[in-house]
Amino acid sequence: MISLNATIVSILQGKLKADIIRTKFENFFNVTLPYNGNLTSGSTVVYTYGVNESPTIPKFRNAFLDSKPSQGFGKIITPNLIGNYVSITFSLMRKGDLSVWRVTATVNYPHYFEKNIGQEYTIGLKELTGYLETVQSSTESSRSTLHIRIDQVDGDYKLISFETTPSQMTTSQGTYFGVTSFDFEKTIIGSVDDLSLHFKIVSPNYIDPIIITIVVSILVVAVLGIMGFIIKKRH
Amino acid sequence: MIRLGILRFPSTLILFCLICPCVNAQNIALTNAVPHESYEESISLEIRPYNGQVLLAFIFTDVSGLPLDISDIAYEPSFIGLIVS
Repeated sequence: MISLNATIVSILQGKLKADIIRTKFENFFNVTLPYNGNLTSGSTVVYTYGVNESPTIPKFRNAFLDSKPSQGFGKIITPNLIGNYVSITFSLMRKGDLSVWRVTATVNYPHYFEKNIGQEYTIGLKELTGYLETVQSSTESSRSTLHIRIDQVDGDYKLISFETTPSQMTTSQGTYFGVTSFDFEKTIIGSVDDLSLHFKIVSPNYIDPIIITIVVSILVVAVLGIMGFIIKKRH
Repeated sequence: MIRLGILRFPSTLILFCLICPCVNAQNIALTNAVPHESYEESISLEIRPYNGQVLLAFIFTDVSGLPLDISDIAYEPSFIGLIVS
């Protein structure tokens, strides 16, 4: 499937522009992409060109494998990895006067693990991909970033005991419609052992033992203080 | 003192001539080692415990806009996406 997205004066004008870009994609990938229709969303009209059968889909996959970098993070991607459950996005964006070409390959592992309260998990790139070497940044790249995100459904379960590989990743979190996302990010130069996250799933009512210890300690100190004060007063 | 200064002059010149190529070589090496400023790579690992799903994304960005040129389409479109799944 191919989607062309343009901010336009009219749907017809947009269609003409979209067709020009479609031709560029067709020439580049050596495929034919028939027009499916358009969708309007706010000020944007999306023109859809699509195919969903062989041999066009394998052609796109091969184009991705041919164009992906052979070193750095690109080294991890193999034809086996880009087998089933993969989504590849080729995109071209405007960034000021520059145009940005971005290729994204997302490998999906549906039902990879079962959520169990009280259980600890470690999920990482090496285990997912079967890649045995260290994760190495490309010497050609001006920025090589590793990112981890994990979602907590606040009323359903809580996530604790985070440990990341590599260590000392920048942490941030945000809550949106009852889902808290924890983000970990690090820019690397050279290599790291893996990209993984260790975590524990606990009940949403879980209270950290450290907090319980602090509260109990405060109560004990307060009680002892009051008792001491009473004893002192009696004497 | 003047003689000593004259004596020192060739030594300084020789030293300068010896250091110069070294500094130049170092500059060339540094220039060659500078990464391609318009290229970025990233890996994103996304874990969704609510349904046990894991997503692993590899993202490669080239700011030069290659391999497609859209300069003839002025500032439209702002985004083009091609999704293969």
